[in-house]
Amino acid sequence: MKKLLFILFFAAGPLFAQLEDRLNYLTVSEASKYVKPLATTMGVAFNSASYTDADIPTLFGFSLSVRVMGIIIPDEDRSFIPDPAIGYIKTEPTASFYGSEGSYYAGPNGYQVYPPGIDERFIPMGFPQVTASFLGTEVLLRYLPEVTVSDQKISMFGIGLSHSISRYIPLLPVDIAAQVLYNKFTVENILDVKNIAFNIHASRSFGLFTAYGGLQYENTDFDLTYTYRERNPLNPNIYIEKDFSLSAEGDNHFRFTLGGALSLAFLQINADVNVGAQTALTSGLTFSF
Amino acid sequence: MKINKFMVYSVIIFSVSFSGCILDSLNEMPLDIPIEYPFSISGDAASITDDGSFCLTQNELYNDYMEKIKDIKLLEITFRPTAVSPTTLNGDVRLEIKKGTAHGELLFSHDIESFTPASYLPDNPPYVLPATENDFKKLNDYLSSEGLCFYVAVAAVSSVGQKSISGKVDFIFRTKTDLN
Repeated sequence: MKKLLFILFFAAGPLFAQLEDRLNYLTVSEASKYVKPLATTMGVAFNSASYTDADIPTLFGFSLSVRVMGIIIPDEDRSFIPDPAIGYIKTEPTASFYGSEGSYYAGPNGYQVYPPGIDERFIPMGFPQVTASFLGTEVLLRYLPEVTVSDQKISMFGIGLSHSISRYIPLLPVDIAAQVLYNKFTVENILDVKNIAFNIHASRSFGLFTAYGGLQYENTDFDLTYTYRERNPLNPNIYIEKDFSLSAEGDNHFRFTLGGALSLAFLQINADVNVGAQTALTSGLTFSF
Repeated sequence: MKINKFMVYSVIIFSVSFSGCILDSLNEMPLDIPIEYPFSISGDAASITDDGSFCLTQNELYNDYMEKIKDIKLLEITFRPTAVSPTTLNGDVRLEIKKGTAHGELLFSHDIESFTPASYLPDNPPYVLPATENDFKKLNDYLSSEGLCFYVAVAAVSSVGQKSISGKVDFIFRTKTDLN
């Protein structure tokens, strides 16, 4: 059961185990370029789907929801310009984590090879979350229980705090709220992703339908540890292993969100589009009272 | 406890629906394996030769993925002199690759005419053999039939007089690996 969960958890287990296979032959600076689009995707995902309404209950409210999303990988995030040593013939870019085949370059120290990507243009992700609100303030919690496979522990935790702004401004035609979010995703000894976001969002209800939108500033720090394999200069058929750590920052900094939600008694269905460094389409099913 | 179960099951339901294609992408990895063959030829005859052999299994990277490799082919060869004497040396260079030993079937040969090795010494880029996929067909068929060892001969032809060239013949192989 634990192994099944591990594999299913956003494909996180295979993803990060095999990410290392791809990073083995990249120096820190080139590995940072290789994983940067992945850092952006994780930031876009974890900083998405945090609100569907700016009308925060004045008394008490509670919701339980599942958020799913698809993140569109733009062409420019599928490759990067490598920086091989002096004397290498560099004529084309190579694959980033989302690209296709890696490139190889001939030079004065033999061939320098770059890893392939996973050749994907659309990344699905999802997570559950709960909210509880009281007196115009809402706390959001995202959590997945820690799963251990092959001595690696995977965990996710997120917390958000929203506060109604419009409750202080009478007669506003829309509800307005401000939110701060913090999410952390960890694969023990391999990966640590920290996301923080601030947004102002607004909504207006038209019967059962609520339109919402917002502007958000966000930041993603992606810290990765991997084993670098360098060709032995005395015998190029043998490799020397070194443990390296890298820090990459996602390109996700600003986004605009526009969406709608349909409320049916205790159930709400929503969908929105998030336009930023990578576009995310999100949807969710919420049970609330 | 109930919320905990809800979260676990919601992730499972979602992931079953969507993660299959991502997992397939992660499991299939085209891996490039660079291998270099060193040579050193010297003498005062018009034609001087060095020969030897190498096997893919001498390479640690190949061995690490050997069980997972589903397909392998040669993409490119470069000729990389590292030392030459005299530096004005000019002549023809012939590269031959055969199955396993000197008596093996010829898989590939290429003549580099009027070659000046000094032009390709470090830090200059190596000489890339202008070979096409068709030129490598015999060699790649040999790889497909699980041939792992190659005989390599490098011959230089120029005017009579003491001369020497040493360097590397670089091969780049592309594999399709299944990481499952």
